[in-house]
Amino acid sequence: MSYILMNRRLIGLVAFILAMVIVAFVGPYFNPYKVEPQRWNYVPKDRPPSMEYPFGTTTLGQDVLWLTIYARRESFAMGFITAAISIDISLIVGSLAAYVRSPVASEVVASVIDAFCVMPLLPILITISLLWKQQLNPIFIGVILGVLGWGGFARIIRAALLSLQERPFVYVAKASGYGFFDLLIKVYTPQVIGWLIVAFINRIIFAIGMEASLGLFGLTSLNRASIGSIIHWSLTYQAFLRGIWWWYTFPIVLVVVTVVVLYLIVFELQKSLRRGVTL
Amino acid sequence: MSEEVIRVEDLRAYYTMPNNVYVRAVDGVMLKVYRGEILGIAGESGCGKSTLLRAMYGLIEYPLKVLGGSVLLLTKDEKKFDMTSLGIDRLRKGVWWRYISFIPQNAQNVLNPMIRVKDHFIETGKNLGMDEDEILERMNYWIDSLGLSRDVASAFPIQLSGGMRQRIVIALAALLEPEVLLADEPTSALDVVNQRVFVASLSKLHKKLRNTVIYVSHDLELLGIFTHRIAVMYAGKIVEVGKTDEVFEKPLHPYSKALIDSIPKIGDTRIRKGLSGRPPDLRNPPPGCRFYPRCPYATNRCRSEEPPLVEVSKGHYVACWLHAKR
Amino acid sequence: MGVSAPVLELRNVSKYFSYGIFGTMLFPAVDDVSLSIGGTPQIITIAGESGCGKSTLAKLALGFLKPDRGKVYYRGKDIWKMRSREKKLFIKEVQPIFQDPFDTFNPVEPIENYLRKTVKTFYGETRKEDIENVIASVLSDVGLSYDDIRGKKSSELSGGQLQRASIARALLAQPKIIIADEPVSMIDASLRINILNLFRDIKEKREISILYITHDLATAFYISDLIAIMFRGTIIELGSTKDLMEKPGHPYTKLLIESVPDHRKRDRWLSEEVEAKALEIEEFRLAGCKYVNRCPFAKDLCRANRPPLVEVSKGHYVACWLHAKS
Repeated sequence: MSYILMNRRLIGLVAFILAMVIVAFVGPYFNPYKVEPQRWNYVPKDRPPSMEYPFGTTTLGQDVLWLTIYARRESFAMGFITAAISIDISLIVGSLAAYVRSPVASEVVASVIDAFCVMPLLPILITISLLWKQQLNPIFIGVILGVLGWGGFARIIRAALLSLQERPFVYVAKASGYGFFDLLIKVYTPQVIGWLIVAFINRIIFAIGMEASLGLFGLTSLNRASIGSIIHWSLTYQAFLRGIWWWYTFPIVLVVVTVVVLYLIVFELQKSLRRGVTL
Repeated sequence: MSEEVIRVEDLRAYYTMPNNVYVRAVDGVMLKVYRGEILGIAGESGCGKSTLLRAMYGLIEYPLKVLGGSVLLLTKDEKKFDMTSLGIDRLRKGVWWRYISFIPQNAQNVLNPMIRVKDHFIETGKNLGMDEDEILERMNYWIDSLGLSRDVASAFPIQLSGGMRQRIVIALAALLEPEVLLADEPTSALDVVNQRVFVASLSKLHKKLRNTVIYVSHDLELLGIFTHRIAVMYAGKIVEVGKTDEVFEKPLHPYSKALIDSIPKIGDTRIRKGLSGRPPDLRNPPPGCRFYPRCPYATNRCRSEEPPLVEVSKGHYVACWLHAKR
Repeated sequence: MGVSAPVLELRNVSKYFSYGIFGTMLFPAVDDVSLSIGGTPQIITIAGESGCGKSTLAKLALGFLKPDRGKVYYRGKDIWKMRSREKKLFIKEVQPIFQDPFDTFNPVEPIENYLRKTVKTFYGETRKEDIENVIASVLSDVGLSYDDIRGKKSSELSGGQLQRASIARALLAQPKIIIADEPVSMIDASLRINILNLFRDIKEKREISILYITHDLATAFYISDLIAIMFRGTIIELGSTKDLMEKPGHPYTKLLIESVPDHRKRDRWLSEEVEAKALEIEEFRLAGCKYVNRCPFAKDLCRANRPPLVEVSKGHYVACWLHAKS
């Protein structure tokens, strides 16, 4: 733990992300307009960034700054939901695969995990979004991504637990009287927790990226503020060609910065968590 | 009187650690290796023997650094190579495989599992400028000499046993019949029977080529069986060098003596005593003799002054105040 | 020897592992082995080359692996059918020591946690000072003090210290049998003998039996009362140290003993033409004698039928058709 706290770069990065999250979730309470920012025509159209409208306004008469804040809330919420759901499923299925006694059952579970690993998510998402366009919101997408995207980490957990079981220090712990919970908390978890945090953040990045991709195709619910819908509307109204660069640039830059910072956090965590962990 | 083939002079090879700390793995080593002999370098983990061998081969890569001294390779055709300053590229082009070869630790794992045995030879040989016929001819010669059957040539390494793979590595090292063969604990993962086969193969090679072999091992008894001379290392320094039989029958350095005494032998059930304590931390070695804390004969002088390596009887050197004259 | 004597008995135990694509092929790592230890304190060695199945046998004896055939009995009861109280007694009385001292303790916890837990589980002490006193006393028996290990994790101690701590941990459970799987292979030669002497003390002073697993025959002969030689999953010879040294019965035993390096016996060691064949999984699966492909005395009978262990003299058993009548 101390190695994590001593890594100042890591603390800085985490603080940065936390700041963005706080702004995204607390910000909406300060919305000066009486309507939600994704509504149309509550501000003058196509104004470039200024003191009054720091991120400018869109062709639909929306304030880009507030649009972005609400959209970021949806992004972070979705990312968290995806990560939470998929990591839970990964842990359960991966542990099951490692502890099942019969070799046949073990192979079956392993194959199920592999099947979910190679599942073609984009086509499935496209299909779902064509079927249920109206209900599609980032929360819904988050759940789908969570329920479909747990394969990768489950594989890691399975491999990690299988190899851990054979290590002498596990046998010696049992010979010393360590029971199931002792082993779980003191022996297995420390080895696995690093990977877990990394996988969690990885899923957040994955979800945010997916959402933006769907927006590109217009496959997201278009009457909510989300990064996807911002991108979609800006494309529809040809913001790029018309020179309304502020519509899409600010949201995209923020997404890119978020993803990069999250990757850097993963990188720094891996440096700090290496001590004593032998996986 | 044999001529020298390798001359190590006051070699200091250290490992760089973060914060500018150095681990002084080889700290002032002087050694002469004579043409045609089998020299064993003995010592326990951390004594520097592997580092010394690597420095002799010129394999000096970060974090290893040579801070002082030199290693000279003197060939039959009167060339002189300064192994520690030439650099890997230069060595690879003209020196390695031709004049000197290296058999690494756990030799059975260095073969590329993706290509067949004979392709190992062909690739290596072509890089050295040989043509395919010559390569295959030599390969078969060594395969026969080392007691392997000809079909190992078309096999993949994974199909062969550890012992067979080790002998293939010997054959590869011998391809151009180099003058010096360095072996770094090649058999530490093998059982005694395969180890015996490996060492016997190496002996055969040595007899055929009449070259020089330097064999590093922590197994003193093994070295006692087939080497002509033995150098004992401790904490980065050579503490004793001499003819193998002499070192075994009359070990001069207390460490050599303790090491020899602590090895159990089949048929001898006397209770033996080992050493207590541990070797010093090579990041910060003590000023005097490094064996001081564990030596049953230690004196005050040993604590403050380091004994030099001196010749006590013909060809028998030791670094110990018990034997050095003022 | 009544039903409740602290005897660990393996009866006709076999363990199969799968290999090949999709793991469809099976080979017996341990094939029909019977052995018993306990009762009178003695040191029994299982000796054999790497891959002969001895580590698997150790895990079967400790109850870490379940035999596919045969049964493991402790105090007369099948360990896989024991109730939890009996199982706890088994765990207490049959303790392990493993080869790699750095992999013996949980790397993220101080090693004293394992020691404390052992005391709490099996000793019944709960007060902190009492636990510490008990631990300190056992630590001093193995040559360590509590301060040596206080608060330290595996990475902060040396191999020798960790292995001693591992022995102390096993002793703290007050076992009747200790199963040590290659306990000194990763320890430096000069420190090995101290740990071996410690095993001798444990047997004599604490009256604990030790099942010592090793590939190093010299150490086996140094401390054992009985030695069992394993080859490809089967025990091919079993006898006292004296019997094996003076009259080894099985050709493999003879080969093993002769292959142990001893600098006094060099001519024989170097000259003998030893053919080491591949470690093939196929050798494990042979129906007859597993040594048949390497044995200079092999007959058709050997290939077809596995020779049983027969008593060639009191307490000395050999599994070879040279000694048994068919």
